Amino acid sequence: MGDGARHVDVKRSLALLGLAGLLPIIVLASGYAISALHAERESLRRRADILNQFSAALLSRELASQMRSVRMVTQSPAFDRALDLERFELLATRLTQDEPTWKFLSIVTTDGRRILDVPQGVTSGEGERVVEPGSVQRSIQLRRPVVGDIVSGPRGKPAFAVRAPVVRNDAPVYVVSAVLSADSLRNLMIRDTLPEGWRMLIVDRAGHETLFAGPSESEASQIFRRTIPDTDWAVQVEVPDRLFTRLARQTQAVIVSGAFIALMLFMGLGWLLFRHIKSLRESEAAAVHAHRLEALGRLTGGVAHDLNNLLTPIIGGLDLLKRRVQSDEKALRYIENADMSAERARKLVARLLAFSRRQSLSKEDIDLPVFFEEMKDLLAQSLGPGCRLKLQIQPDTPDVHADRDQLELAIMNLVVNARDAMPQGGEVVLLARRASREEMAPLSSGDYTALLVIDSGLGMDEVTLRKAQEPFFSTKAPGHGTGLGLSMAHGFAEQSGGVLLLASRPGNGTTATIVLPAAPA
Amino acid sequence: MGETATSATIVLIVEDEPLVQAMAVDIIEGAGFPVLTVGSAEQAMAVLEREAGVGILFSDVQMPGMMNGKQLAREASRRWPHLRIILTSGYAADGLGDIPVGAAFLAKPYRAEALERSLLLLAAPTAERK
Repeated sequence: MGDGARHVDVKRSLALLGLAGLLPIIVLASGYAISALHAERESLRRRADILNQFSAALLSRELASQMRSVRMVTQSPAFDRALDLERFELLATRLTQDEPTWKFLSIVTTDGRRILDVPQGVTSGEGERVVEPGSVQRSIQLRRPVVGDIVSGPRGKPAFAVRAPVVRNDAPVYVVSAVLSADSLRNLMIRDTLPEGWRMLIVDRAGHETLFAGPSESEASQIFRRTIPDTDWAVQVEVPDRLFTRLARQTQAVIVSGAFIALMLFMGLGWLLFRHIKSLRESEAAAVHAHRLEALGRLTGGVAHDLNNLLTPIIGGLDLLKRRVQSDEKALRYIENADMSAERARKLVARLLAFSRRQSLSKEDIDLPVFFEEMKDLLAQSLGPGCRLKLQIQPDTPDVHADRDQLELAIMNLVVNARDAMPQGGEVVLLARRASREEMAPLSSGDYTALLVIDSGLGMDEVTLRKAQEPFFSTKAPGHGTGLGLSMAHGFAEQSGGVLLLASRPGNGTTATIVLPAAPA
Repeated sequence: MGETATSATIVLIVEDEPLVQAMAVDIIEGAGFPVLTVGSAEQAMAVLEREAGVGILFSDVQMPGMMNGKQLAREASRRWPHLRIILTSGYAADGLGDIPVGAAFLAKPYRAEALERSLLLLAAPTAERK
């Protein structure tokens, strides 16, 4: 059948339509999401950069002021002639009390040996080499204060030295060192507002990293580094890579879920559209079918009319002939045969007319229990011994308003069809009940009664079922039926203001339902 | 036959089918009625104008021409109220509605006896037209 192929066509075009609608949305959404991702990453970078810059500026100021302070110490008169240790100690004691960030002050020789520590006893003693002599050399070379590397101090705490050369008569004679705890710098760094996972650290000249804020464990990160002017230090901000990839993942999830939702929506809409088109096609097919039946009805009506005209002289002639040959028995028998044949032809035409809906009906209210009772024997007889008949009227079933003879004929036709569908025998159920909502759907409003003839026979496939209502259609062998049974029932039901419904599946039996207007209560 | 009071009642047969017409003539004449035949409603009207003796109109419904049998029956019964009318048709549904009061309907194919019975029934009372 073409129906299946057409449905596939519809499905394919709907799928294409959906994709056509979906693609630009996905592209747009992806573009938007990607640009949002870039903006987000850029702002992350900028934030890191600003933090970095800010911390570097603060640190730079602090270190510069420390360097200035140490340089001021080098101006002390204690260094003017012979080294006045007592005087220096006095100054240094006052200064270290006043400046708590200074752990101690030292005088160091130009080759890096300690002369005096204030307060005393913080290191192992005089004459020792300083822990980090590189910065001593640099301060002498540069003739200006320098900041040393961060090293592990006397109590294992990170510390660093700020050293300034004592220059007299244009020659460096000593170096003054202030040793500061690295912790003193901590307060300068913006630690509280550091986002989760970020690290901030100071990298000294030697490349030692001292962590100031953030988790102690380092992970794969993007590194932002800014050197502090006049020192060899740098401030470094580390932003974990996962923050960037998390953004990308979020974006990806947004795109994927967006596309999925759009796809679902399109599929839903497509399904609705498909249903709509399918129902349109079905009603179209039903209309075509109705037109075909209508045309066939007109055709058979015309044929029936002509046949009736042709039969008139035959039947009338036989009637007159009968009167003339009353004495001739043989001739009378011929006439009788011809008459019987003509009578059968007349009945056939009457059934044709019933299909073409030009049969005259005399409607009356039919009491169903009585009607069934009257028909019972006739139906059982036509079913034969192989089939059982079960008559059933549900309570609350309204009586019907129809032509009694035609209804009888229609039911007879349906029962005979049921019998023929069950060559092995079986049960035929004739059931009367109030018509269901679906059954009444094609009819004008009002009360209806449904009469069902149910068999458990061979059943029909869809094509056979559709053709079954056309006149002369018969599955029976030639000579075994006129093929007018169902079309008669169909014509009768429609002419009575009802409808004939057929439901069947191969192997599952057939149910023929005549829906008729109910008698007024 | 034809010796009763009905002998004067002429039956006008309106039928376009010659074979059917011939059959009807035989049956009706056999029943003792004088017969006139025409093939259309228009011709029937002309005969009715001319022949005052026509007491029964026996007409087919489906015919060629401007008027069909039902229209003819309506028109004729309006102008000659005492005219008895029998309509016949190959469409049984033509027997429904649109038939003047008092007119009979006979579905084709009809039996000779049925036609005779109808004629005698209609002709029994005084069937003279004014």
